[in-house]
Amino acid sequence: MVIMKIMRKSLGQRAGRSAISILALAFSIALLLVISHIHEAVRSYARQVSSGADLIVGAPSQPVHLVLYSLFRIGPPPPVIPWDIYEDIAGLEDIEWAAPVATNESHRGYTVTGSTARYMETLQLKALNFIGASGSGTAFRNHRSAFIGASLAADYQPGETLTIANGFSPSLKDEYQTPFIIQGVLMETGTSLDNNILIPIEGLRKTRKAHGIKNDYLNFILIKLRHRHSLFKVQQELKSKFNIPLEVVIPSFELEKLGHYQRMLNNVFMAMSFIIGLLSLMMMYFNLSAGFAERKQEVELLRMVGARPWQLAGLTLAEPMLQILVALCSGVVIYKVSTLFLGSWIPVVSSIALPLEQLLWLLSLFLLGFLVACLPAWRMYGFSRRT
Amino acid sequence: MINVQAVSIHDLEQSIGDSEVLRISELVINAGETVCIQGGNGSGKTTLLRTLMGLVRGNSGDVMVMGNDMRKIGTSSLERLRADSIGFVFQHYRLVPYLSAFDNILLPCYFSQKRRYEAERRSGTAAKDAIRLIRKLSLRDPSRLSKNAAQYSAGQQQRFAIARALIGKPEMVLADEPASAMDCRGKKAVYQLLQEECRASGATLICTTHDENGIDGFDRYVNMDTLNLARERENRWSS
Repeated sequence: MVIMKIMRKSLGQRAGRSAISILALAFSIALLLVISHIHEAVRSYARQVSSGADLIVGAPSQPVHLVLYSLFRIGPPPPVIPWDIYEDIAGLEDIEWAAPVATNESHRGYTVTGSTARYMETLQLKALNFIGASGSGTAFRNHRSAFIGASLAADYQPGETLTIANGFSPSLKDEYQTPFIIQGVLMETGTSLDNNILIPIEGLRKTRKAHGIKNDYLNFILIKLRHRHSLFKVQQELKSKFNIPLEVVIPSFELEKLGHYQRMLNNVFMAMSFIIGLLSLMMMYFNLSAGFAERKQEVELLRMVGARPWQLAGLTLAEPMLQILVALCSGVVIYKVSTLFLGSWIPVVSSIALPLEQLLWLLSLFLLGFLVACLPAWRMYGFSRRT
Repeated sequence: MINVQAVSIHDLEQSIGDSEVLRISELVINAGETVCIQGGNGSGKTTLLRTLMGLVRGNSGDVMVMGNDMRKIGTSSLERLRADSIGFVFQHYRLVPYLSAFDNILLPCYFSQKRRYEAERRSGTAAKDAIRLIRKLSLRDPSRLSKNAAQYSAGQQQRFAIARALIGKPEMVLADEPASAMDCRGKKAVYQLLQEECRASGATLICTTHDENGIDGFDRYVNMDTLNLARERENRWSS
């Protein structure tokens, strides 16, 4: 059909100019998707991690700080609490397991975390084992095994030994004598855990004792309850049970509070990329309007040979709709490609599929584009009828 | 032979804004007649042709084109009248620039069954008829018609526009300065082809030109300066 041919050729003629608005729209769509992807990924990662532990116990501090440090290693470590507290808690009936975590030692400036396999499971850490050939398990082979974070992998060989020291600016006398043997490398997480060395807490306690430290201590405890409905009861119980003050927080509650700010930030970003999308639609519209003046004579000529007003209006409508469709498709492609790169940069980001509600954003941009395209088409229809 | 009126204009008045551009008390052109309308720039030739095409509607008076009242005709009847029965050459915007020369010539056949049928009847296929017309316009290499129209010279574009006007045997051909971009030889060929084709098919031909001399062969010559009585018409350029 000749109208199709006219459309194809006329699009081809304007390809250069429309390419810019198509590109702008495609990028804003990709940006929209990437932003909501990151948002979703961070949320689901936080949800997964926080669902691993029902309660977190630490020295009195800001609840949010305690959660952020214990689960994501954001912020400074909380002050230490005595080891006895852990033993008391672990013995309680309501508690399925408790994971003590000590982060008070260091090795050449890298934080040394002493904990159990439970902690690693909760944080969803995975490791490559080099010793023991036990696959990718995170179980410590013995009390003197160590896992190193991904960032340290280049500097250390598996099987090498390392010594640790008390505190972060240790003098010679703070250096523990017993070395640890590197068992494997933790997979990259994108958090500061990548700069950590993980050792079993039992091994750490033995080493401390050997060094002459009498009063054992730790930084925080992750707790999983047998039944989640006893959450508040246990929280209150733990707060009043000991004669030293303790902070007992519910991580999912604290993250929910943070989630509010995260959503706000996310909405600002989304609005920004949506506005960029709107601007490129406007650019498309101005292109069309500028073209409209140029096309008056063309329309006159086509009308003279017998083209119908609806055919010409259809031409005017089809052109921007096609551009918007191309922009949508290439936006999605750009997004897909960029998440591949994003995944290698922030590993937690690659693991989710985008929820369907993102389609609503795309759909609303498409509909807006349709409205924007309808205006010149309507004008064209009117002009053609008068010609 | 009965003289059927192809065009009849009575007491036509046409203004653009405040200025009156056309005032024609009477103009009658019979079917099959070839008429050359001569006049200086701004004498109202183009407006007259556009009135006959239905692109502008007069403010008052009667304009009949092949039995249709052009001031009252409905959109779809006007569409059919133009597509089936009128071949036209615009002075400035001759071709759709992004279509090939060939497609430009064939445009009326795409939109009008009647004109396609006539072109096929004449030469077998519409494409062959286009080539026949192009040959007559002293174009050296008629096989090279696949380039976009905008890539041809003004003179060549005018030739394609004329071929488009003539294809499919329209009953009336309206040509606005059809040879303005051509040399002497080209001009002769253009007017000759227009007259020949129209006479052969019995079509009415109305040409406008500002050339005073060298144009012959028309049945009638009308001087726009005496035909158009509008006082305010734009006659800055005529001497």
